[in-house]
Amino acid sequence: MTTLFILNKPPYQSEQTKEALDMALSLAAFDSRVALLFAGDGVWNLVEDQAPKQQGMKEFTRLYKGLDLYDIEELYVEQTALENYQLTEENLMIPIQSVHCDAEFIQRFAQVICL
Amino acid sequence: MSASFAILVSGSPYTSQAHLSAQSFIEALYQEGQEVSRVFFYSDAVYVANNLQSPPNDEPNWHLRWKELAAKYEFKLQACVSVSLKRGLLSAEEAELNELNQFNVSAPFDISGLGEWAESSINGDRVVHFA
Repeated sequence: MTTLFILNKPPYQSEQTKEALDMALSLAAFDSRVALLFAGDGVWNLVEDQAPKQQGMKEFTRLYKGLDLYDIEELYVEQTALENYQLTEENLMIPIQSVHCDAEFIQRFAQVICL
Repeated sequence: MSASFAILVSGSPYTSQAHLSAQSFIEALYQEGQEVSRVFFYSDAVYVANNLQSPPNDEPNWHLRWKELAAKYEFKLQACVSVSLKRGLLSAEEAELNELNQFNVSAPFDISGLGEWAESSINGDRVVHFA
């Protein structure tokens, strides 16, 4: 049984992405299976060379590079969102599978949480 | 055997419909003979745990409504500790730990770790999320 977290907000505009990630990490720490989907504006979480410290923010997105430590290995990015923002794999900080977020994709998960 | 429901509320009490919808859903569940294991408040939903909120008499008091509903059906009300502390919601215990001389969260609202929420998932509770 896998819980999919949909991260569809940009990283620093609100606390929502960080809070969703915290919840995902804690489920994973308790041996629940967790998957992450970066969709819509959420793809900006994955872009390399972020400098939030210039605005006094914490660079929590570094955590994406260490998700294997939490046994979170199912990572997806929405293909359409990458295209909309003209981003390619080279712009992203981790290797990640791009997917089409249709019903067939969502139905693979027992639970879906989007804060 | 009826399944147990774990309710996740993340919408703010006064700028979303999350609390009204969650409470209506819980009433309906109990009328159908189902049970709720816990209501877990996350993100801006934790503001509802503040026991100082004082809306006008003819407007809904979501804090009070949760208290009444939890007393009626005996389920837990849990506000996530990390997001609560950040937003200035502290129980007497948390206030002491953080060396603050005031607190605004008390029973039946409980300040709980995310581990409590993870437990719902482990127990196989059916999760319904109100944002």
